[in-house]
Amino acid sequence: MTKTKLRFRIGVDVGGTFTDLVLSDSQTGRLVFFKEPSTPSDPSEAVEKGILGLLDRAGLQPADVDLIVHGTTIGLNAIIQRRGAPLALVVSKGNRDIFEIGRGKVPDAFDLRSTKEDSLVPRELVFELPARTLYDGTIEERPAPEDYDRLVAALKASGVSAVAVTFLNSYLHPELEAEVAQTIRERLPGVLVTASAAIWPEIREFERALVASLNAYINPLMGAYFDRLEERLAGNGITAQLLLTTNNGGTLGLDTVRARPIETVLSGPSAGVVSSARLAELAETKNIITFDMGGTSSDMAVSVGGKPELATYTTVGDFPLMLPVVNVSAIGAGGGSIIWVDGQGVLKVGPVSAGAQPGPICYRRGGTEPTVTDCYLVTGMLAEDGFLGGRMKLDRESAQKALDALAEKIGLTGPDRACLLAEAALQIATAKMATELLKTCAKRGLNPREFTLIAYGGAGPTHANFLAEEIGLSAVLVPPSPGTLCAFGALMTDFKRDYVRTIRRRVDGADGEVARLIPDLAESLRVQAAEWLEQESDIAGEIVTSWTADLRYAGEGHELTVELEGAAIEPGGMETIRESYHAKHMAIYGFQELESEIDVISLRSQVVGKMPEIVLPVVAPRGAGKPPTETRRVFSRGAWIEAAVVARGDLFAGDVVHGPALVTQEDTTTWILSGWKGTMDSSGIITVTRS
Amino acid sequence: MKTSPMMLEILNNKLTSITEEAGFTIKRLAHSLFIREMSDFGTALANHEGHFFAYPSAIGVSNFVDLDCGPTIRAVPDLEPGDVIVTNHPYASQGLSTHTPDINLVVPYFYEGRLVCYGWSFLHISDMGGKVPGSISPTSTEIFQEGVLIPPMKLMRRGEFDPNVLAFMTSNTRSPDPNLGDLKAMLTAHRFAEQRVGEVIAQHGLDAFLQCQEDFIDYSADRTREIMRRIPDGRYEFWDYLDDDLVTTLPVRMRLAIEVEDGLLTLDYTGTDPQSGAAFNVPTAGKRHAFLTAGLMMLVTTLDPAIPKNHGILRDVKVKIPEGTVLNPVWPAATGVRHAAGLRARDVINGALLKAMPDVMPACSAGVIIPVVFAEPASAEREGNVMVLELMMGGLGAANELDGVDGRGGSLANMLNNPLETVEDSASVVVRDFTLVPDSGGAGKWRGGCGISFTFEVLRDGCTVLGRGMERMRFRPWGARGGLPGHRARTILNLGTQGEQEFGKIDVVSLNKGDTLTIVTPGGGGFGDPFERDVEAVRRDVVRGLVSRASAEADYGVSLTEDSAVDAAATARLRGVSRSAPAEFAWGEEREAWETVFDDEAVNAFVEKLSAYPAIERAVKRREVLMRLFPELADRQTAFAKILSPERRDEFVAAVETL
Repeated sequence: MTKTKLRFRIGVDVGGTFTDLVLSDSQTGRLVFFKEPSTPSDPSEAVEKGILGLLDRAGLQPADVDLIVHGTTIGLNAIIQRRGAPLALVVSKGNRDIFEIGRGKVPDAFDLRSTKEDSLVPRELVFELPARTLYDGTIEERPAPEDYDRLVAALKASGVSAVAVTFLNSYLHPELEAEVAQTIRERLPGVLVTASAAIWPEIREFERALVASLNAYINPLMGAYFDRLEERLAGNGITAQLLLTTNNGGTLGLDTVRARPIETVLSGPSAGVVSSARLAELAETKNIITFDMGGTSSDMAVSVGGKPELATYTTVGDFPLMLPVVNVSAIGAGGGSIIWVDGQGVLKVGPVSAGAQPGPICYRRGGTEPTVTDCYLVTGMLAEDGFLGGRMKLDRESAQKALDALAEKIGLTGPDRACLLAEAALQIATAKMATELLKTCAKRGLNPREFTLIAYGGAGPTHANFLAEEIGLSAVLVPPSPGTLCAFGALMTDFKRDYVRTIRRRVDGADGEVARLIPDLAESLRVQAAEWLEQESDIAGEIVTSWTADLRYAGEGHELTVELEGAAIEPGGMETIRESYHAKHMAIYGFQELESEIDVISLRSQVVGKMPEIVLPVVAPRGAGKPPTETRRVFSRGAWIEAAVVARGDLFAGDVVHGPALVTQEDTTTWILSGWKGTMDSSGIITVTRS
Repeated sequence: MKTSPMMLEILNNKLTSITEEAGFTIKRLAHSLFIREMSDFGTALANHEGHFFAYPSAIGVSNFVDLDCGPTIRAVPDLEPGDVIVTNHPYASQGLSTHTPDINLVVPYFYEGRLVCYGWSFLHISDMGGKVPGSISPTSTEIFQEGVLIPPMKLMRRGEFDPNVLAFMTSNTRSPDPNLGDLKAMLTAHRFAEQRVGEVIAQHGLDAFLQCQEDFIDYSADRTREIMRRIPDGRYEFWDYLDDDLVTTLPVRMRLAIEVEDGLLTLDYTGTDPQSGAAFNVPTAGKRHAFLTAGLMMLVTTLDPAIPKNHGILRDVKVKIPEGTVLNPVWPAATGVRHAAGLRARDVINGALLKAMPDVMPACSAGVIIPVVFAEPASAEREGNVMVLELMMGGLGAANELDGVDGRGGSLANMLNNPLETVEDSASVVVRDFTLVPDSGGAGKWRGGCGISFTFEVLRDGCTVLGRGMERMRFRPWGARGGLPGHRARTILNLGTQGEQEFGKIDVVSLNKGDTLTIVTPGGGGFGDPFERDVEAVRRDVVRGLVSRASAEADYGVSLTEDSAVDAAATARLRGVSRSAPAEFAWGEEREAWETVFDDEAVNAFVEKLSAYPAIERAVKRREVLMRLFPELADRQTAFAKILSPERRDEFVAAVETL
């Protein structure tokens, strides 16, 4: 019975430096955290060790675990570092240079010596096949047996272990593509074959071929990883079901992911945003901007009305990715960003980062250039022994020396020159983050001052107050375990899959072609989704399907994704679709064209199978007294001040910490500026607001 | 610099960001498709002289940094809070607007009653009237055919529209409502930017704000000077050609001499051909201008990618552009398609800079952006339709230590090509081929990028294709330092059939059911002696199908065995043959034939003589002389070698002398 109740669930996030783990006990609300150094050569090793360590800390046995939800950047890293499988691509005749030509752009318009990305598939491994479906579904040309023989022989000779197949117009008519993919599978056992429309049947052959090729590229590697992981778990007597978090902020079963590993590449940040939105709701906040500051960069994402914003298009490594993802964008410096002075004597922060290796000077891993983290340390925002609960000693002296040298370079003098420089560098980092955040809002027509910042990642809570003050935000939320939010977030995800059908027709009258087509397509998507959920798991509860359509005024080249009411996809829903589009256009662009015809480009659905919710710990109210408080000197606004230092574990619901103050915990330090205060609530969230 | 090293960085980030936020606001609110699809708009902050001190790096047109709001500002004195200046007049604004659809706004920003800077924006509006919808046609002969002209004047006074100006603007366009929507988008962006400027001043102080305007420019100028000092002092001359100006078949030459002394540059365009009778002229008012210096700015941003993009980058560059030339036309020359001449002006500065900085600058790129404009008549299933079927780029030029990119464009604009699936969905065509053209990239130690071939079959009778942006069909993208030129552009009807027919530059082609049209873009020029190319790189190009075995042997001296291994002995033999020293530039046969008569000395003399005539008569006079001597030049398909030869140079020189 415990199994179906899913009492003990483990969330895992494999990062570059650490593998984070969280265990949730749904009966008591207890949460147990564990951090294990990652093992890049075989990431499953750290997952195994981490789970055992976590169980040990929790006092549980392997057999007690009911569910493991796993986020991983293995696929992403393989794409960025180009460590995927040797890969071939099969295309229609005349389309061999699909990757060479791409969409016609070079990455940098300001660089005379710009190069394009190395193609995922070198030209000699792109094979044209006489296989052509026309726009209307007519199969004009079909490969003959000898064409197959030639192709199979060439694929065999090339030694590839994965093949992607993309034919023109397969987004509407996938049959020929599926047929060829199946034939290759049969004739080349052991080679993993991805057909583009089976992964994502959306119009635009270049982007669709990339989705298929990236999927094929990481398919062997991720399959092998899952094999090893399953073996290790089984070896330890862990029989829990394994789920993987996905780009859209959801989760999928292992069998689905084995065929569609591309769905996991951006899963980590997505889970962080989804759980932020959920946590923010506990603090009765619906409009948030996430601020995730890690070692190499800071990321932000927007949630309006509790819903994380999705994008239908993003980039992964060198490539565009045409899949629905939680819309996360980089906004600037991370803790490892390097501080330097240019030839004209101007102070700079980043874009180069010391990353995890060699890292900031104070990490004692060989870093020689001062970083943002070194600035936190010399100004006293971080303590020498305050990192990882004191397990890692920071080297203040070396950080100070390096910052002294830099300070002298721009003419700063006196005993506090390093601190003056550090503060200036932090101001520059803040200004850059603020401008990027403001631009992101300007693109969407949002006023950031109507949003609350939610800070996580190792440095997020340390820097968030600077950012809030710079932009003029009224509040910052700091969740309970900001440094492991992605692992924790994995436990808050639901089963989730996106579907798309390309339509590209004019919205017509009540009994027109499109009016009949849309309900038919919707029905076929419903059937497909039901089949998937049926196979996926027996633990999904309530099923929620939401519908959107990509719409545009006739003649425009750019479409808007519009949420649709259920009525819109029923027969006779055309008027509803029209009204929804006019309204959305008005909201985003400030005008509408009521006389214009509307084209429907795509119909999309997102199917969610609700996961039984985890129970969160409740922080008790303080009976009497105050949290034990020490003080530390912090260099702030040009002078040394005394800041209160409080351990987060000592805070009870309703406790208020007045800035200047530092709230310390194992995985981060929260900095509260003077003039601001932090309030602990019963869900363990600290809300930082102006005093 | 008086601004502290920290404040400079902080303020530069913030003020650049304001221009970008304003840009995103325009993009979000504007109606015109030119904005929403092609980002043909711009924003910036200008100082009291009208020079930009903050300019976006991530939105809008990337290389208008060197525009000058000064003449526009000075034309409208007594500015008050809420006033907005508008202009689209290429001559009255002295090149702030370069063609009539570019509506420019200059807005004084006030803080506590004091004018603290100017906001600038421009936007390519849908239509400004004139002889054709959209206002631009290559065949316009005077600017009056390109729509209504608005010299700098107040569009708004103290926050209120001037009803007369507005009525006048909306009465002279085919699209009054969208135009008004676009104007409002720009005005919203300015209101927003002025408010944000106020916030920055409130936070950092007015003095800091005023001081940093000067310091940003000095800062970028200093960084630029450091780069320019790497150029040895001297004079670097170069010229290149447009195939023709579409209304005549005569090539148009642009000539440049860059003089360099201690990192200070003077651009002298003496010897450039007279202004065109068609709409190819670039209105620069004889001053330094973004269309001329874009290539120079690219050099700076290539060597110093993080440099703040502002007036300082170009500030110390001087220019000399004779009046009445294609790069400094006099009123009322048409300027609608100045873009085509701008692309070539960039090749010219590229070539001159290559002489100055051979380790950095690439050989010539394709130098075209070809929108394949397709029209089909209405039918039962489809409405009549005019659309850009495909947007074609060519190959990029190779540079020292760098092969040119195959089939993608660095270009003046920031546009994407169309997926073939949307092409087939939107028009009655089937795409047969969209691939790189082997051997089209100029051979070299570093290979030029390959051009693209696009073949489509038409499914209905009565379709037409309009020739737009077709260039380099005669004059090939040149190779440098021993590198060979890239292949030229081509258009071919029914390729590979009995009815195959090659056109030169096309104006309009009619196509019926079953016809195919093939359009081929140029390859980029090669760099360095191809016989010095790494043998393995040649082998890889052959394996990848980008260089033929024949070219590998003939152009690169590399022989491959049947299973594509390098035949070392045969290669050594091929490469051992003694050859003449490689030329600094390789032009291709058409330019060589052209210059057997029209060499630099003869043409300089011709241009000099023509300059004695009134500006608007020069093109006519030039045509008269050339067509009298060489009437065969009227045919675009005849190779120059069949018309021109060294013996005929004397006739030309004699004719020039009698002028």
